[in-house]
Amino acid sequence: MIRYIAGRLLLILPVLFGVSIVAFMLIRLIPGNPAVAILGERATPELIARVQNQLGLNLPMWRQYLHFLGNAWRGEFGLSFFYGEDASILTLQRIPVTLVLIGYAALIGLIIAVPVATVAAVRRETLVDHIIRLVFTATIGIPSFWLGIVLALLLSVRVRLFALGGAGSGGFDTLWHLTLPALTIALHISPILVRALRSSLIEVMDSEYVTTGLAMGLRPATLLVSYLLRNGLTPFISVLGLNIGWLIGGTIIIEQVFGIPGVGSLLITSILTRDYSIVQFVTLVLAFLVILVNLLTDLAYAALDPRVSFQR
Amino acid sequence: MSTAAAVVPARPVRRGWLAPAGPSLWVGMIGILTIAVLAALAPLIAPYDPTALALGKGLTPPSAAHWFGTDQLGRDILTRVLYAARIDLQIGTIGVLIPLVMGAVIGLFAGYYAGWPDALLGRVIDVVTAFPFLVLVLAIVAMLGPGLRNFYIAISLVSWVAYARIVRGEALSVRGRGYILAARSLGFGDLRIMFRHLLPNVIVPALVFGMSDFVLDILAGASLGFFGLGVQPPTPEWGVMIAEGRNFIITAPWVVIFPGVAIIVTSFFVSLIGDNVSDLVRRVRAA
Amino acid sequence: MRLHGTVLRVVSCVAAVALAAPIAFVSPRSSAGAAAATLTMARNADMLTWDPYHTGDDPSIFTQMAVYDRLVKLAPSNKDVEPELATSWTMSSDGLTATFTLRPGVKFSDGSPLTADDVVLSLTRAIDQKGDWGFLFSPVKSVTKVDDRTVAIHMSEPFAPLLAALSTFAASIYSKAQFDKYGQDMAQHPLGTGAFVLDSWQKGSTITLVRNPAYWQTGKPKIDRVIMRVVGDDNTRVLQLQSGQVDLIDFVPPNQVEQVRGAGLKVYAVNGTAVLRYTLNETVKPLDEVNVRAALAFAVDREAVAKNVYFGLATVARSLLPSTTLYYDPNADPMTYDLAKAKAFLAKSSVPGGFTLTAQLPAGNQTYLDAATIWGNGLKQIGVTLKIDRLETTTLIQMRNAEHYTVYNAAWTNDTPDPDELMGVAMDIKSQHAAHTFYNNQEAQQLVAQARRELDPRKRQALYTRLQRIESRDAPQIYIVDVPRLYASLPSVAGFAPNSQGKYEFENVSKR
Repeated sequence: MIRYIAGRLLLILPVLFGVSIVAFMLIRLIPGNPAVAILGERATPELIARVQNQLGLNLPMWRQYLHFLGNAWRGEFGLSFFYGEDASILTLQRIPVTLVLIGYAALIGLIIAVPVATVAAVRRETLVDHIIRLVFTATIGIPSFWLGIVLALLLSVRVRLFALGGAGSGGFDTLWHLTLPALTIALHISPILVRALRSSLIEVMDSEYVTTGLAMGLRPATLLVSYLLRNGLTPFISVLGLNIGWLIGGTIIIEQVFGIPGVGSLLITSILTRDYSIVQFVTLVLAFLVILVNLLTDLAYAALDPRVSFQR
Repeated sequence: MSTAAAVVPARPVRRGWLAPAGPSLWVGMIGILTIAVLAALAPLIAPYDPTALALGKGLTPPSAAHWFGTDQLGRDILTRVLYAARIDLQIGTIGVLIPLVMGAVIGLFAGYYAGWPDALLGRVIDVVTAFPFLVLVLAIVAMLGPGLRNFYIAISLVSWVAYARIVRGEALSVRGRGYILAARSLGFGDLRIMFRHLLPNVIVPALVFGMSDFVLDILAGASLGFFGLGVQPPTPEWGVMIAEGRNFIITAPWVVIFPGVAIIVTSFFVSLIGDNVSDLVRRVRAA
Repeated sequence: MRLHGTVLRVVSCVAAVALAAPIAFVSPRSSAGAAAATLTMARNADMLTWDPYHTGDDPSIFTQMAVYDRLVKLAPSNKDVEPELATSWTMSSDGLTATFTLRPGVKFSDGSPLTADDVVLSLTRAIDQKGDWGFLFSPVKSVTKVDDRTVAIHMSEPFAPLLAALSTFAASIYSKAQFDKYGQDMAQHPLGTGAFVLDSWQKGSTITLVRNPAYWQTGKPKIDRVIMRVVGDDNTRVLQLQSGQVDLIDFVPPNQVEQVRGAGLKVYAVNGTAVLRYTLNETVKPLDEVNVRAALAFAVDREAVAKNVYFGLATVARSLLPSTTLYYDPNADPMTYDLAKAKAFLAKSSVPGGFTLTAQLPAGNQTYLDAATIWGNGLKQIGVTLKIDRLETTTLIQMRNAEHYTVYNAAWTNDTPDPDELMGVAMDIKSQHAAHTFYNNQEAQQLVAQARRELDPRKRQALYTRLQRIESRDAPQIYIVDVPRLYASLPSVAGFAPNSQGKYEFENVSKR
């Protein structure tokens, strides 16, 4: 087990390396450069040339990459061209908000999916099940920003239930501000969660050990906790884990819509303003996050299902 | 305390998580077919020209003359929704087909040979999936310039990975099965084994994923439209209509409701088909 | 007990509790306490720097003007300047030296006194021709200290736009000690004499300004704190205002103005400070022919743009100069919407049958797209096919600078009410190739230089009228509408009156 984890962690390095190269090249292949973005409409060729020089953008790409690697090794990830602050500090300051948002969204997603999927699984093939599946299948096609605006209109303006925009000032205020965005993201991913959980619950419910257990007089509550959920959650967790990339992607647009100072909106803004340092650092952080979640998912899978071994 | 009888449902249910085929498959297929036909016939059945401006009649609500109302430049929304159907169905289809083929072939090779091709593919998959999908697509479109063709390029470059991962996973687990070993011992060539014996048995999950990817591609078009990098004017496209009309959600909601409903309805039918794909494959093969 | 009954019961209990939990977080909105009056504003973008020397973006400009003062400020009429840090000024008889007397008793927010040295430093950097804004002060040679309370500005030739230029943010006065201490880093550490002081800045998210305790105008500002949040999404800003979560917003989408007014909120439309225009690249044929350009100019249905795209909040432009510019003349043979004239012009050109024209627009800007679509509609009727290419904004600016574009679409906003800024850039090939158009007209260039030197207002008016007539005739740039700046606020906000430079003037704002 330890060997497995260690092996997986070692694999992170080449992946991060690959990610940094791709990010480095991709952002530089987009026409335009930070000088243009900073100077905006008032940019003139002379000014651009000067700023470019200042920012060291005239060196060949491979040299810039070596610079980047060298600095990264020392823990320095450069200055944001746009904000004039350390890219790593700017990013790390925003990570908590995005993590809270993603976690909150996943939690709300679970809160929605578990009861709904359970009802659908238990009452499968009945009208209730069909209605549930119908509604959630239809929900797949709703664009998230559309949903966000509608929720904001209904739950923040018409009925002043939740705060809109920004991330509040910590603690409960932050949760209050993040409820609408988290709800939007949760609703956006709920169809997949419901579908996966329902089918894995059905599979478990059909299995022989459940019917046997009931015949032997097991109480339904015990059954529910010890067997159904535990075994039903397994494939469900892998679905959740696999979709973490999608979850993060959904967060990006929502952060833009609700004006949340998180990593997602920072990344998009940095791409559009060609803020190379931030793009490079944020992609590394996100990659690390995704890899970590994949690892944790696999571990949780194994913890829940003793049949899974670590032999490849 | 109830007996087991209370738990077992009245009708036997097949194992596995795909619901039995029934009306839902047919509903899905008929639905998509209807949309496709409407889209194809758009130039004939649409009441107006999709690019015709009627500057005096901007933002009129749905009425007898304009069933879906007009947008801010007086263009008929019903017409635009119909014409957009052609683009969106195309986006869903091509956006799935190209990555599916690319990913399946690569995944097949990696899964069959295992060893270093598989390890390499694994690392490539890790690197690509470490980026949020939307960010990669956005960056590539920003690099190449917005437009339908570049959208396809961007989607293909990013999506093939998901299919490769699925096909490779299935191939890895199936390659040790009896019939594959038998084919090998019979001296069949690798390519023949891969494409005639392995592929049909591993492609199904990829096809199922393709159905949901269909919807994701249309939604990706909407997300790009949010940044103004979607399909370019004057081509109408549902996602872009919603994204660019979002300022009118409060004052003229019909501008975004109808394209939104179009997306929801289309994805609904496609999802129904996806739920039943394995059944469909079986029926087609039996025929 | 039935299995699914228990399951349902347990699960629904958990769900009910979990869903109800967030509602428990709802707290009553605290009213603006009498102790500290705070104005919260939601803006669509964050500022970038506090150093005027390196500033290019509007949010930086507007916010700098709240923290720094200048020698003079624009009068409400927009036609003149009033004293701010300078109480009086005189011009030498040869028009080459302007002497300013500084207001006594002015202190920076840290208590240090304002002296001529601060003014000299700030203005010396401002007039640096290598700086972003040096061009506003082109004939100014140096700024010298006469004594502790007096400063002199020396020019190489008479310079009519001087006072207007001194009222722009580029001529903001900041502390020399601060600059000596921080150097370039002053971009993060402002120290000015304005009504407000920077309290905290979370990049890309929130700026907090607090009142300047040492502010030289007694009784002002009337609010203690200004919080500026960055909310990029138009809808979210409007919804935040409507739900009372912010007091003030900028960039109200034109189509929502009526709805916002109907909800009982105040809308502020600052007109005549910006003009939407198409810049034509004369190195791309057939745009080098004046008949072609004129035909394109007369094919724009400006009324339709004002009505359908700006919902009546914009006015038809009758000159390249925004209407609040000094010496603006709406009657200098402006371009109009006249398809017959357009066809006639095209008939005299080398492409009477029409051609295909490509326009590059910034992605994400719906109003520009709609306006261009209307233009395309008119062009279709004279045989010109308009192809719209939308590019990501930074890419687009890059293209324009590299002069690879055909038609570029942007709004020009005046930084100073003096027409020299815009005319100097638009009509002079030496100035960024005449705003990247390559328009080369000797007569126009001479007029621009002459008008810059002319100190007599009546003669200046005549010169600028001629320049506007030439511009409308030769159409290097096609103007469309005067674009309004739209803000909205809660009814409790009083005294908000942003001027034509976009200055918020928060010192006059109060909350009831």
